Amino acid sequence: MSRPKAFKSLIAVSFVVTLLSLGVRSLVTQDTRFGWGMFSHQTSFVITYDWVFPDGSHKQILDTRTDLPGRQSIISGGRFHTTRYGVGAVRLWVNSYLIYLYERRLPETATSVQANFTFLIDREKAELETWRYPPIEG
Amino acid sequence: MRRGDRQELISRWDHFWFASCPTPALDLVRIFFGLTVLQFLTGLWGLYRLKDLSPRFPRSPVFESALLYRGVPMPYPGLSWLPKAAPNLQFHLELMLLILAVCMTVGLASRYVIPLLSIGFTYLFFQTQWNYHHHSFLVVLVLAVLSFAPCGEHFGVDAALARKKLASQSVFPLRLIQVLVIILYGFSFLSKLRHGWVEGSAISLLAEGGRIRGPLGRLALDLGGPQAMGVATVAAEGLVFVGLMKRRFRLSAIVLGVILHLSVDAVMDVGTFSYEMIALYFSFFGFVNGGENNVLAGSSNLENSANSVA
Repeated sequence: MSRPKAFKSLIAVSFVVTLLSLGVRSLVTQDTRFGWGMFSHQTSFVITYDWVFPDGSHKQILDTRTDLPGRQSIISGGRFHTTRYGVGAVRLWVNSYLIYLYERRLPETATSVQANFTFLIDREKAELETWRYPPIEG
Repeated sequence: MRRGDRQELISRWDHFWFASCPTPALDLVRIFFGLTVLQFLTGLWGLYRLKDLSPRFPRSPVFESALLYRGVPMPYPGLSWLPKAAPNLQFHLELMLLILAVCMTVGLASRYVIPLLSIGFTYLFFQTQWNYHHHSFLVVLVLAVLSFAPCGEHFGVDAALARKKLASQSVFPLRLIQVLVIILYGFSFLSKLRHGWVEGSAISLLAEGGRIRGPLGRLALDLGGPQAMGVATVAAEGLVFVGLMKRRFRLSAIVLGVILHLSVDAVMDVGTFSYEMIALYFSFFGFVNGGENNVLAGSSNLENSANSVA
């Protein structure tokens, strides 16, 4: 096989492997972006954000919308949302927002920020997940 | 594996990816996909709102999204170095993309225009909320393929001005697009093989969320109901997926796909996705039954190569 053909073969294999990997990732992580899982399921959810203090107490952050212009407000706190991008996409967006809150708005007395994420997929059983940034070690 | 078998496998691989292609399929993809990029940039899509459809330029909502990540870290590792486009630059970027898309469609300086369009579009894709949208991602992938493909050989200004024409084109970029389309349908079908789609609650939820729109949307819900719409969508996607891989059924699959996408665009806002898919069907031009002048007929279709690889 000539060198140009070998190079093109490598491109073809990489292209196919990448597309297949993105598709499998989408199915496994329930994040339909990049994976062609358009409208496969509807996720309804409510998120609240809390500052966490050294004594373990929490205080809810009430003004999250002001930080979230435009469609990023899909992860604003205390409101009911639905998305077709899947629960995996919401996980990534919320964790990204937790980093922002921690780095830009953390009060001096707080040590971390927490998101409480309650969601239903296709209106089936409700589930709750809690994420904290920085993550709790161990 | 015996030496003969290996040679046969390599020969089929070569034939599938590297045969020459005399058809103007790539140029047709360029023209029709260029039109969909123009639709994307001017907001001209959505049969569900046909009465109110009018072009909008500059399409400010596109660039509002440049502000959406203000202060919020990009969720993609390694992309934080991307410079943000200043608001006064955004209009110029939008204008540049529009001009490039027109040039792409009419086949003017395609060799330079399409890579520039691809770079500009990909930049905005990663910087803005475009990266949420499947139709934007599809544009990124297809423009990347077309950037390296000789797709100005027919039907365009380049073709009219050219002194010397390519005797034949490589089928390689067309194969990449065909494989992309088939994989896309495969995963779209697989992801909808869920209780909600078969039993209709997925469509009900979309309707309650206001996503099924327009007079045809209401009519479809009244006449067919959510379950019929759900089953029809899943069945159509599955049939198109299988049909595109089989030469015998390819034309039927394309007709079914066109009906599917126009129907979806008539009842929901899915951006330019429907039109992008229809434009990409041109990559199969010359690869369906009845293409008598098609040197690829008979031996280099997808199913033969798939069989040979298997």
